[in-house]
Amino acid sequence: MQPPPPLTREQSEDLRRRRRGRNLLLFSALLALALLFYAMSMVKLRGG
Amino acid sequence: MAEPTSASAGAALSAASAGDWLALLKPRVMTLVVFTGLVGLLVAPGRLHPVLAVAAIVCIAVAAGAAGAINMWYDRDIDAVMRRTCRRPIPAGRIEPAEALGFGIVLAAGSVLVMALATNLVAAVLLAASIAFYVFVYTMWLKRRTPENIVIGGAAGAFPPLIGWAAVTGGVQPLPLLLFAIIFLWTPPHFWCLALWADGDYARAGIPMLPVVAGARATRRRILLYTLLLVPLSLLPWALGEAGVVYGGAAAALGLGFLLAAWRVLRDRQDARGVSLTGDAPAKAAFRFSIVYLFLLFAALAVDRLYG
Repeated sequence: MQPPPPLTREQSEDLRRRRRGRNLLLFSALLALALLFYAMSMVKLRGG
Repeated sequence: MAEPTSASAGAALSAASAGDWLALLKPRVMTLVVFTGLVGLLVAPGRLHPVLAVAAIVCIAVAAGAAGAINMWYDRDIDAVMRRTCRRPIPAGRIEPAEALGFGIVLAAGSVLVMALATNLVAAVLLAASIAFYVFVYTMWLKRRTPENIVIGGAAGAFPPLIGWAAVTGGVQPLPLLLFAIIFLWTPPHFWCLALWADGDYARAGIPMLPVVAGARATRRRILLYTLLLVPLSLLPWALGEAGVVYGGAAAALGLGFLLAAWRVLRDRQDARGVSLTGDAPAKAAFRFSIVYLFLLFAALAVDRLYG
């Protein structure tokens, strides 16, 4: 099987940028979920 | 000059951006779903802690997005041949189908679970039912089989006010059922207006949308018929005393506007085969108006119930 052609510098930069965007999105989603669960727990504990 | 690096070109092709993952959630559809769910929650009698209300709305949004992602996974073959959808992340090759399916399933399960934890089991069951209806009944069963796909399948988009209401009350009463029925009857004329000018796309993909199967003339008649059914139904919350004059007046005025738009679609200049000679301008206008109609109708109900 032929190895895939190497990436150009621009493609490599683009790949890094997209990975960074995905990681930031995932981080934001996990942080939001953690905050939501914390807030929900507090409300439930106080009988809300 | 561009220099080669050690990473593979194949990896670059599979690297979707954050925007691609968000696009899987069909954010534009989500807007209307979230708004109608929010109104269901606001007009319900009783009180839900703001944190739990936010959690419920997030769950409705995520569930709608999850259903959209699973829909995109299932419809990837037809999305690829339709001009309107060929740039979506899966047909464009930026996200693997299995990744999209996994994403959708995880979000669907998560949203139902969090809804149950944040509010109650009734709201969670309704949320699960709305996802199941959209995925199994509309996407997998009806969409490719019958021109009535959008008539029955429209029920999937009608769930949010029921879910919002149930999140507060833990049950379902006549008003949210009326809101469900309003969205149910609103959906066919809304989508048929779009289908009138996107019929080439649907025909290419083999989707039996009404304009493809029955023709443009029959579709225009059905748009008017469903609008004629929708307008009196939209007045029922006021007639039954569930809403006041603010809502009643808005429903009457908006209904007249929608009827006028549907009438213009029917009277569009067309050739002997019913093909529009105006580039389906009235259908495009009616499609845009239908979105404004639903937003304003539900906004009027919220204002009426909260401040009326």
